[in-house]
Amino acid sequence: MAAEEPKGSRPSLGADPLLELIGQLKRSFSIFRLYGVAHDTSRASEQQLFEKLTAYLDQNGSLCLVLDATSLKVDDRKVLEDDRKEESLVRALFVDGVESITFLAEVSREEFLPYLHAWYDAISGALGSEYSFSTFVWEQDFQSIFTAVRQGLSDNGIEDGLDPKAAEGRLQQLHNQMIGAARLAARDGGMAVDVSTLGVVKHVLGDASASDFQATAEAPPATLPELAKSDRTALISGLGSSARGAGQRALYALWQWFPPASPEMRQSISEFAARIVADLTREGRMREVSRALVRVVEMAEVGPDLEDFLACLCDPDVVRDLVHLVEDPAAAQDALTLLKYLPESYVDALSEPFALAAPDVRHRLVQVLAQKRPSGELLASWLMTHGAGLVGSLFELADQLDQDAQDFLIRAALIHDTPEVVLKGLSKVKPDWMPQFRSLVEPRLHHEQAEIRRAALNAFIWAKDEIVPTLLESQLADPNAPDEVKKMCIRGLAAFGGPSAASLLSKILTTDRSRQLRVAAALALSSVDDPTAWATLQKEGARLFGDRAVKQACRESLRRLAQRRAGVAPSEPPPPSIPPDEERSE
Amino acid sequence: MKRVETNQQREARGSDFLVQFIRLLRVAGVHDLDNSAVDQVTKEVVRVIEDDFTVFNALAIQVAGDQVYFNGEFIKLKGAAFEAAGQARRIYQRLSINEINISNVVDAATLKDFLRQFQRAMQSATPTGFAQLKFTNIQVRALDEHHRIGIDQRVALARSYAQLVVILQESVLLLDRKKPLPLQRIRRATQALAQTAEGNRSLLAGLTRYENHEGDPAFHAAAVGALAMLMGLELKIGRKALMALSLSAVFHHIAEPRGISSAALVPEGGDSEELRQNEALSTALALARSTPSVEVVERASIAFEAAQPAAGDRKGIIPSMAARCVSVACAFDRLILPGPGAAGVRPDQAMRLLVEHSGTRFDKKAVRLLASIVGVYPVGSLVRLSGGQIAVVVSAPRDPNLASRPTVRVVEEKGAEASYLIELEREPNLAIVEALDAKQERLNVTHFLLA
Repeated sequence: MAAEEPKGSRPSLGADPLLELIGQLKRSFSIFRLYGVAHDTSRASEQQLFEKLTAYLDQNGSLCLVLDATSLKVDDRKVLEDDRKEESLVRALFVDGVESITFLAEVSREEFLPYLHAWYDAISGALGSEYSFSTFVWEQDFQSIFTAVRQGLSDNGIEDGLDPKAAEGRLQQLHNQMIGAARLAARDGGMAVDVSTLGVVKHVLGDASASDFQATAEAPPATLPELAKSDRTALISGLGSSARGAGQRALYALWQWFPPASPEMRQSISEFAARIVADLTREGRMREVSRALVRVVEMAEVGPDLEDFLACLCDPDVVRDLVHLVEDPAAAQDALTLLKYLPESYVDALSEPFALAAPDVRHRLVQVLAQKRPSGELLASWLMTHGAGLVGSLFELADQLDQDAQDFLIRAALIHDTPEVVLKGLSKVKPDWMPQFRSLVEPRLHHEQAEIRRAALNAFIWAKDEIVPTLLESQLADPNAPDEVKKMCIRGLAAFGGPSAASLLSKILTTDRSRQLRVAAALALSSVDDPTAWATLQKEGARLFGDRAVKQACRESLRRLAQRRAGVAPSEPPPPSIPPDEERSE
Repeated sequence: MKRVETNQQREARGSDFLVQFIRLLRVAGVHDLDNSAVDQVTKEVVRVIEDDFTVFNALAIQVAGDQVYFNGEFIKLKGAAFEAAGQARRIYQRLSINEINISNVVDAATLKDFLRQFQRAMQSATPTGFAQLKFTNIQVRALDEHHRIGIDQRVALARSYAQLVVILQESVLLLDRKKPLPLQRIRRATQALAQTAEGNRSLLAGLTRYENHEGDPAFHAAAVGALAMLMGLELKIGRKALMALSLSAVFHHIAEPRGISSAALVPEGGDSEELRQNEALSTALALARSTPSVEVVERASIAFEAAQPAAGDRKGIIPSMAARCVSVACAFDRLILPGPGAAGVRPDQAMRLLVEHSGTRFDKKAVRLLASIVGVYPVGSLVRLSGGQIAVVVSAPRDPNLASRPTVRVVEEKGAEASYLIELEREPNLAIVEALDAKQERLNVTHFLLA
């Protein structure tokens, strides 16, 4: 029972359920235009529309919307007038020949929504070249929505540049001939025979011999084999699966015909094969393509024919789609299989989608890309273009490639502007590669960021380069070098320093303004077996107004020296650096 | 003496009767017949019937395919008639009937007797057999090949078939001009054919025998499309699958040479399989070039595979089931109507050749399916009966054990023209003794199929 309206209230604008319903229909299409049909707002709107429709149908039993070129009518009452042609709700349907749409009371949401979406697709031109609205809904065979259709304007061939009158004439003539004369004219019945019956039979059946044909032709009427229930089931099931596997079968067949084909034919085959891959990928039917490719690649001999065939399948748009699909758990495996089986040539087109992909997707792609052996130049160019965001994945990939590829990538990283990239590059310089990278690493010793200086120093230290002591000393002498770096140099000097190391460390211990550095120098002197170090430590350790931390460090250092002299190894020698490979920033 | 009214007035009466009568059926379908609502509607309908009988001799609502007719005339569906037509379709479909005919004025009690049975059938889980019930002054009929209702859907079917041929002729022209095929129009024409074929399947099979004198590939395409459609209809597959199969069949040879000429024959010692497959590949590629839709993948695939042996070719390509069905339909048509200058075989010979080669060249199941549609003597075959009559086969027998006893239209008897139907299933004293070549006899079989 309807709620009673409060006294004195104005009737609402949507009081008429029919107008409310049509208003909601219009609103829903506007929302579809703005957000697309898959958006939450669109879904909410179509739900409201369905509720309004079912409420109307509960009251009225059915709803018949009659269309003309610009309006919708119900019972001769105009309920919608299109004001703008480009946003018309009815024009496309009217042109298609739709006269009316009737919703019956039993209409379910499962029927209504696909119908509504087909309507929207029709007015937004998204039904494609195969279907019009009326042909689409006919095939959907809606049980509770009836669409009445007359011959539409698009039936007469105007759009194809053909003469509709001539077609109508031919139709009438053919129709007349079919139902017309009982007897054929002499010309029709008695044309000269160029190909014999046997020739026809051989052409159609291929292997039929003359005697076979004679025996069949003269045989008495046969009892035809009966169509068993199992035949019927097999046929229905087979027809159902035909469409699903078409891409797979077509691609495989095209490959079979590719090697012996003429150049022109090859071109056509390539174009079609590329289209199959593109169309089916767009349609989400990659499994067919991936299965076909697996079959082709596994059965074919590796060679230029296979390379040429596969090369034509690498459309950049397809590659982009495939990378996106790796993010979709349902499609990821097929997409990766396809990427695995497509030839190397697509890798060139992968830069952008690879860079934009999420890190976990990139990690999965790396495994596929590694098999394609991309060149170091290519990886270097990706690094220069996309920088820090991609550096981890690129090195993950390069680690699986040969040294040349790694070499290119490291060089690109070392000259890059971004500290993260430079750091990564420094961490990848292996000790025995140092000679070839020295000229690129050395400038990084003067980088403003301590981390980079440290990494550059580490690279030299791990390579046990002969200039390490000099480098350490120069860092310690550099007023711009951060304390952090200097601390590391102090430890380095203890390990690698030559005769001058003790005096330098002693000088730092006694004169440097940084307490941290003096502590570090005191501890480092324990590793330098030099008589002057002993004296300096004793002196600084006993300084009356000396820093407590420094004094403590001196005493600790003296204790270690004493232990060493007594033949006991110091308990925790300070490490000169952190090994590069453990210093992964990602 | 009936009152004379203008056509417009009669149409309006038909439309009104449809609305009133279907309303009564709906009310009876959901309410107890003793309900006062039913009483009132029944009385109203009785009054309408009485009034309408002053103009008409009978009042029949007929449903064929998606169309609703009143006394064999299309009803212009406006306003309430739209809804009533949709409801009529649903009711008739549920009861498996095509016509309810009121042959004389009925009173409320008679009408209620009818409604009682109607209600019982509607509420039954398996509402079969309603068409067999007898009522006073009311007849219910299911449309079949032999008991046609007043409307002539056969002419509509012939026109739909001709329409498809004409659109395919245009498509071939467009293909020559390297323009895209008019896919939406072809689909619509094929759907129209499927709609009008319902209840007239034998006729459609017969229409495919229309002689293609010019070797126009559109005729072959339409014939194979129609045969594949009949196969799909026989299997009761859904509309979407039916269209996919039919359209694949329509397109399977669209770009190929017209008819079988001596130039197309394989020279002695040549590889016929290789040649056939090359042709099929060209078709598939031409189709792909001219079709801007993803459906082309399946069609091109079928166009190619239809040329392969059912058991698979040397390259390991095994045709899909759809391709096997198309292959059988194509071979059947090619054998009978190979084009100008080539001598085809008779339809019965074609069917036997297919059976002979099933299991190797052709799929056994697909051949059986076609055979169940066209029979030993396919629709459109010209035959001589044991009584000396010359007749055209107009429908295949329903009982497969009586496959050689179809329904025929006698077209010549004792040297004189004739035109009457014989159901050989019911005439044990008559049999087919010989199949004849319609071309040699210079007979236009489609004329007799539509007669």
